[in-house]
Amino acid sequence: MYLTFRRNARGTTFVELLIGTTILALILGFVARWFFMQKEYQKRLTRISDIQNDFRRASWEMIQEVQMARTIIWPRINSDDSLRSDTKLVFKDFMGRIISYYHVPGTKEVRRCVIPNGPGDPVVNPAPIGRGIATMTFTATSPTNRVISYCMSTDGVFSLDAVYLMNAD
Amino acid sequence: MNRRALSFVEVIIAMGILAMCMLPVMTMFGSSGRAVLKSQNLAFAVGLAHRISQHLFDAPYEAIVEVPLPGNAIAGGPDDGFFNPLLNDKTTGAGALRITQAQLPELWMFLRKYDFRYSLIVNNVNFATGDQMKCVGIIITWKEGGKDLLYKLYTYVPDL
Repeated sequence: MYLTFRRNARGTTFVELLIGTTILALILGFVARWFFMQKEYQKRLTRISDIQNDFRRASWEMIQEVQMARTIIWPRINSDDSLRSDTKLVFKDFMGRIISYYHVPGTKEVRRCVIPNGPGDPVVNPAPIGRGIATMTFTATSPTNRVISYCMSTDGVFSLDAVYLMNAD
Repeated sequence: MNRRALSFVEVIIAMGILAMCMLPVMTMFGSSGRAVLKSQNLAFAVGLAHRISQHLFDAPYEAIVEVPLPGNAIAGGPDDGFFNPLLNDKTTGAGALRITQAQLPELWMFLRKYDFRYSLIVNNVNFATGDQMKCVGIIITWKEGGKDLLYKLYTYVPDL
């Protein structure tokens, strides 16, 4: 006489549950690791994109005004004709006003002010020309004083550009 | 058969399908990242080309000559008036900084990583005696993801 046992297959065994949980944990571990890596990567890319927008905005503002300027007052090339750089740019605009763009390292801003042609304090624009700019340098390279190069950088993102004065005296 | 619970095989199959569905999402993130990097380098190249064009307006007319492809490297390149020397906060030429690993390492590394170069294509345009100009094609090239990319800007420099 033999007894036959029919197996009841209505659920999972403990071992199967353990194996399934382990595999699920491994998969979720990989997914979580990938997710956080992508999150950091996307954050970095967003930051790069924001920095480029900041550079574009600042460049646009400066180029519009400087290319119509009449003369660059500072920086000017050195006496040995070598180039000269500074974090501020001073020029006479097409209306004859003395304007300065200057970099403020503490706030990472480029600001604009109007320097009075006589006694008085400079009048600073309420809003900065550029934000989030870690370094900014204006460079005079030419004896004719008609080209100003500038270099901006923030967190490994760079912008190299220049402006030619179309309206120079 | 009373099927009130999941079998082990069903759970494994479900996890496999979940993993397969994650794959396109993962590739989507990767391609959006590449697009941002591409726009970063393109924006930089546009600035470089504009910089060269502005310097060309101020350069002596006869000094505007062709720079054939593959072009001059900007990092560690020759003294050309466009990029090298780049900065100088001193009162003599001794303080001039060039885009080299020693003097401007961060910028040098970025330019070398993508191998940014510039070349110039110069064509003379004569309207009449004494009325001529140069049509200069400024080509910025760089390497990205194993591909050669370029940005081209044309500018016209009159003989004043």
